Amino acid sequence: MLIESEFTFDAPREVVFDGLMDPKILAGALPGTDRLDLNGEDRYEGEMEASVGPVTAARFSVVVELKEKVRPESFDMHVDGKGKAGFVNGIAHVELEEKGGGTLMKYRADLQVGGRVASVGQRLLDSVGKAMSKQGLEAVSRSLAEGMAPAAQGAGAEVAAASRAALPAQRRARLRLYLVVAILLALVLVLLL
Amino acid sequence: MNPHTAAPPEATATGRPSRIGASPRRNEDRRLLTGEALFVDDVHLDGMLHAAFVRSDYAHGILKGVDLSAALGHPGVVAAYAAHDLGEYWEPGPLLVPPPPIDGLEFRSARQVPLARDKVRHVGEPIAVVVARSRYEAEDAAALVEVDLEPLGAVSDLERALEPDAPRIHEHFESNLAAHVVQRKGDWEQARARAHRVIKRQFLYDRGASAPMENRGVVANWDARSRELTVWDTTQAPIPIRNGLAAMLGLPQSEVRVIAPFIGGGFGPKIMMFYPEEVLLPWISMRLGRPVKWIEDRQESFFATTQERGQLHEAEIAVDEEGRVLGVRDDFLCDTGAYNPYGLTIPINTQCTLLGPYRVPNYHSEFRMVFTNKPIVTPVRGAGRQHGVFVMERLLDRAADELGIDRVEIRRRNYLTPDEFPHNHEIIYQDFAPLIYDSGNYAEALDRAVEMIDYAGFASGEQATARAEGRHVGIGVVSYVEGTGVGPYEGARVTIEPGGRINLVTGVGTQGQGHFTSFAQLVAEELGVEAADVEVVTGDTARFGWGTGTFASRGAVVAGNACHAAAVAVRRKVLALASSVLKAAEEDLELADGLVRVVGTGASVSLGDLAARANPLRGAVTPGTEPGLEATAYFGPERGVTASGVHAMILEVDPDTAQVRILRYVVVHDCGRVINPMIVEGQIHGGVAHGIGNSFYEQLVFDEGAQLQNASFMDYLIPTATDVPRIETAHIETPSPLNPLGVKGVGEAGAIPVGALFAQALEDALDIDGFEIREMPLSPNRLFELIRDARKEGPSC
Amino acid sequence: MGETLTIRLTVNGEAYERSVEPRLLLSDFLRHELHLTGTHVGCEHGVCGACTVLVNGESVRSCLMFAVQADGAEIATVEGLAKPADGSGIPHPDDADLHPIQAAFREAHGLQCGFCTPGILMTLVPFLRDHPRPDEEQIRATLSGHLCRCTGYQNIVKAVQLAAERMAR
Repeated sequence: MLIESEFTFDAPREVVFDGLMDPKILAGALPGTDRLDLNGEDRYEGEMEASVGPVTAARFSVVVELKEKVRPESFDMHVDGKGKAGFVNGIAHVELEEKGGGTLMKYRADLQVGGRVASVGQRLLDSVGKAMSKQGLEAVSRSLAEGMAPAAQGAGAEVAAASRAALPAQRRARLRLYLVVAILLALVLVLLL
Repeated sequence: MNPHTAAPPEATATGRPSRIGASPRRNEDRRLLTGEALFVDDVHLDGMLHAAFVRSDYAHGILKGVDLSAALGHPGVVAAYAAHDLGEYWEPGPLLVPPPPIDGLEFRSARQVPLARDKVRHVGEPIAVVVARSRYEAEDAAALVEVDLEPLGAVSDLERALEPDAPRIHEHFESNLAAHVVQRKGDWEQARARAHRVIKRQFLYDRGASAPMENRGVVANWDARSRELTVWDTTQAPIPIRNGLAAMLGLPQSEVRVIAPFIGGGFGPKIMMFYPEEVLLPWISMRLGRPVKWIEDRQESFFATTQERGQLHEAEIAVDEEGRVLGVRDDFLCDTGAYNPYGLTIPINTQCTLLGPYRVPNYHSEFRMVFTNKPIVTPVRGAGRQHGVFVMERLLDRAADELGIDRVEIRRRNYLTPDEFPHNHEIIYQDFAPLIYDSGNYAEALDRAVEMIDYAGFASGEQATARAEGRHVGIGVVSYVEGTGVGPYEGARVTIEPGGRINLVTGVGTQGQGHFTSFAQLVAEELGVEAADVEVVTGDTARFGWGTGTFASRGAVVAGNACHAAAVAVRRKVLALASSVLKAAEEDLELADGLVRVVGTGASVSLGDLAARANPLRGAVTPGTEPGLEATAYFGPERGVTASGVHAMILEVDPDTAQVRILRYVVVHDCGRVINPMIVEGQIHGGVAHGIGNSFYEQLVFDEGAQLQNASFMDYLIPTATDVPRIETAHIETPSPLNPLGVKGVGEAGAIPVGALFAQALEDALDIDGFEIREMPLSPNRLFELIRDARKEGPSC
Repeated sequence: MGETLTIRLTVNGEAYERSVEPRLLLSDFLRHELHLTGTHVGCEHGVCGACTVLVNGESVRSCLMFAVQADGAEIATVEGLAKPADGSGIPHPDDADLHPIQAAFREAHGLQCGFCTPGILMTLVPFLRDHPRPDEEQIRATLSGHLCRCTGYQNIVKAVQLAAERMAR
């Protein structure tokens, strides 16, 4: 299945790229993450338990590897997620283009889906995939904004200026997590089916 | 008034309400209507445990390990097993249907296993089983089983599977080719050379799931103290299951009882035998010393129950200028899924049924059966006949078009005539015997059908009117022959009890086709009682232990004739005994109303009294006599009998939306002598509905990775009451000379020609130059695409 | 077994009180807790209609409901349609003890394997109550909420027409 979309960040490309590349992780920063470890360069392994509203506890394990990095333009994300109700694996290709003072991120993911996700969830995969990706990326965007406005805290802070300040390590790690989870959360709803 | 008569009798031509040819109300209905009827999931035993299976999410992979520890620790869980726990019990299932004796045949056998051990080869293949206090807990724990599986590339497409670099599903075979078979008659090359016209086409015919409303299920109970294993199973073949389980478990057959109670529809896959669940549940019960139940849920059924799928055909027909068939050549690929325990039944049926009611002097039919990473393929109502009928009927339609001959006329010209029977087609059928048609009158059925649907008046009448209004209506007429009633044999036992009750027991099971009534009619006819007076037991190996099962439209033919033979034997005993009791010659006696009467006088004795006399508690009997009024008889036909039929349809299609509406549907059917017309019609209605489903609504959609994408009724569409039209039926009876009753089978008939009929009628309705339908199923989407492409590109080839 | 809740409900006029897990489906409760196995389960996702029962007089797919949602409700299942047996085990002549809809199904051959039948019967009870003179189109529209693999629906339609005719008298 193909997920193709775009998203605009109010931050320059280098900031976005670096933010997504930084390897420090705070596993406890994201609700539902039991474990998310960096295992070798550009390789994340984790265990997550996802809840959507009153429906709780779909556990899945995930391995994400980053490849073909071209700063600040593009990289590939190899994803392998397995849950009790199915699996998802595939490759997401991410491209960053300058747009105004910000960054237009285009991503295209070609995913193989199997198990219960595939056999009863077909009609949801597309729309949920897009909706959750967008949600996740908006969270990423907010974090970027937070990182860039040193005094800003919490959601909703607007980006003040196109500062090229490097983000704090924990911010960058969290961004990557959001992106990883954004794509995977796209399928969480149907993993729960 | 007989207290067992539940309904007022209906009059028939002979005045006897429930004889052969009448339609008495069904004996089984009360229990079904009141909810009393026992289905497998209704079985409840004290201390019963529940099983849930862990199934592969991957279509192809190496199984590295299974970790049951978390599952075993879950509350309520009593046991969990993977392949290594089965020890010596683990073995692949038997080859159910060996290949027939055809020269040059290549066949590679691969059978399913109880739990995957080294590899998984299709999505849904069982890997482990968890047993717990409730199904809910068993499923909770099943989710905790850790499966370490290394995915391999999966193959879904038939042609791709045969490519040299395709993933190999069974490593000990050099490719995914499961079988290669050629059957020949006459000399095709010569026929082709001298033909006036040769027409070649490629066809794709896909089928689907059987989807009975009741899923599969097994309850197994090993009672160590009485040394009896009882298994309730949604099987169409209780006796072979009993025999197989006894052998596998090392038990004498007498200690194993398999009961097929009321079954909620079979349609074929419930005669696939030695499914993993059937083989495991009894073993688990013996190990745990407790009853265990497994009931399939609907989503599971799309993987765990066998299904029928597609064939890709390349076919040629050679005709003379009159449209007479000189020969046919057909090469095809057929999908068997990950294993092929059912042998070559489906493609052999395709090869044989292609010939239809036609004279085909030269024939070359060649198929390759292909392994794919999908669930196992075994017969579903029609069992490969649909594919053959589609090819032949479409080729005839093309020939009719090219030669400017009417579609009905070209069929009539090629029909075998009644004086050409028995007609030997020389190729081998699924019962391992040469395909010999025993009887039939194809032209009469055709005439009747075209008359009922007013074929002659359609083009200039209804169709012309519709066209003038901008509507697209079309008509189709197709015909087929179906080999039914194949051996090996079935048996039955009839007993008259003191008190007058009559029992009939037979080894076959029943899945809704009315055996409790139609078989009772056969006995009622011989013994002079009502069908309601005959208590029928089917599908319980403790009551009758010899036979094979319900499949291939053989119940009425084979089991029915056994019931008849047993009743005839009991009748003879009744007459002999009554003759001495009433002191009258046997020729002067008649059986009616539960009595034996001396014609002319008033003297009579009831069957119940006779039965009591036949089993005295004191006194002497003549040496060599058997006690009671009971007889067991078997019937094994020398070969199958050929039923046939013609279907005709008028439909309307909207070329802009591709929505289709069936306006009329006519079936003229020949199943020989009809035992119960109401039941026969019901079978035809159900078959046609299934055929409509396969033509326009149902399709199992697998992606390239052999993942099934529509494993639920939300997305796998079964036709509803608004999709199935009223079906008008008529019968022709050409009694078969191959069995005493003259009956032929009818269970699958309704489903067989529907795809070919849809294609023909749609082409007629759309009337787009060069537009051809060469695939099944269609759907509104697919039909829309085909219409759009035809309109854009003009004539296609 | 997780937490349980106590529910009280009546089924076919008889009162029951049970402790059940919140996630127990009403279909499973009726079949396996109360052993009223006449209601069948065909799909567990609300498409086939085999599990249809009446909840407070209206037809409901019991596989899409939890037993705890039926607390305080009056349920009717197929077992309650026929008049109570007089205990003799001998069926009434003329099917007089059956509900007219059941008797009509028998007469018209509206069932073959019988698995989908109880659900259809329960849908027909309120349907014929609210539409005593339905035409074929209405009947087929109502039946389209039920899947039957055996009959092709034709004789089911006939049975409904026969039942309507008889019940209108």
